[in-house]
Amino acid sequence: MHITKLVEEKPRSTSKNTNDPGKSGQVKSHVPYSTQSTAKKRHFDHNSSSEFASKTAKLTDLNLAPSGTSSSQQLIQERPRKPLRKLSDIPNHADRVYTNYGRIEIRGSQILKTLHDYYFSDDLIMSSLEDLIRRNPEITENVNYTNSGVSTRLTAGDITDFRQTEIKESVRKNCLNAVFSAGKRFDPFSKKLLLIPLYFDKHWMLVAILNPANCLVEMGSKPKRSSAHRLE
Amino acid sequence: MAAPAEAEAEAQEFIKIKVVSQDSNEVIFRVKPGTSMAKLKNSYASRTGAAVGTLRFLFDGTRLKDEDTPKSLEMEDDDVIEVYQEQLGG
Repeated sequence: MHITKLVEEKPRSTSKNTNDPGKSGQVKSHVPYSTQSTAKKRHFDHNSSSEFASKTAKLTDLNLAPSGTSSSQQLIQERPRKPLRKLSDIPNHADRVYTNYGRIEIRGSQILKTLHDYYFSDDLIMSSLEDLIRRNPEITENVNYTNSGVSTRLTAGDITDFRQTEIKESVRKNCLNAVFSAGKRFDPFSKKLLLIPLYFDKHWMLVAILNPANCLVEMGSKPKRSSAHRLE
Repeated sequence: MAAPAEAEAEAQEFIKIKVVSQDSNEVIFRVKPGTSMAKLKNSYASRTGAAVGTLRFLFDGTRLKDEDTPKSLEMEDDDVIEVYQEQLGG
């Protein structure tokens, strides 16, 4: 019974197209003669061969016919899926290294801290800064940055009283320590922009110094007030 | 006569490295040129009672990796390694 239905449907679909006055001409022109003839052949063969008929009848009865779209949709819907994982269920791979940025290794514990406490570690700050600068060669050429240890040295001890006109001895010492922390090879005046990631009072800040070379004052000469922030 | 010569040779093998913390506390280590920095890090952490993961070791402005050695970093006598605590901020 199924076969007779299938066989009957094919000519119906073609007849529909031919009956349509707008599309009849197009359909006729697009369908080549060879395919029409093969369709007719199939029609003839299906009716005549009893073996093929019995095979397809079995397939359709079992709902495993390859041409049917409804059966495949059912399979997708019925496929078992894993339940969504909660954050607490994620295993804590604290010591596992996820990525490297230069010499900085980002471990699982640091990523989990950002998810749970919304805190960024110095490693994440430095790696993201390095990634941003290294991505564009033009930026790499013009931007210099220090490590986060420099800011730690700068803000060490009692430096909170900024109203004093004279530079405190502790601040002077901090500056020397900061220069030492930056490294012997580090030249803060070589590039157009100097970035210092600053950690103070559990907050991350970014200090940007434009044209740091203009901060240099020749010994014996008077410093120009506008030279430090002059744009080229 | 041979003993002092051997001692001198041994002393030449070792490098004296200072590890300075944020609060300017110094710990001196005598290490061989081929010793990995992981060993130094672990011994410093065990001495101070802090977890190794929360400490940042810097030499000449660059971060130390576990596989680094004094030889690879071209370290000399009385060179200083800086140690910082992990900084968490928002």
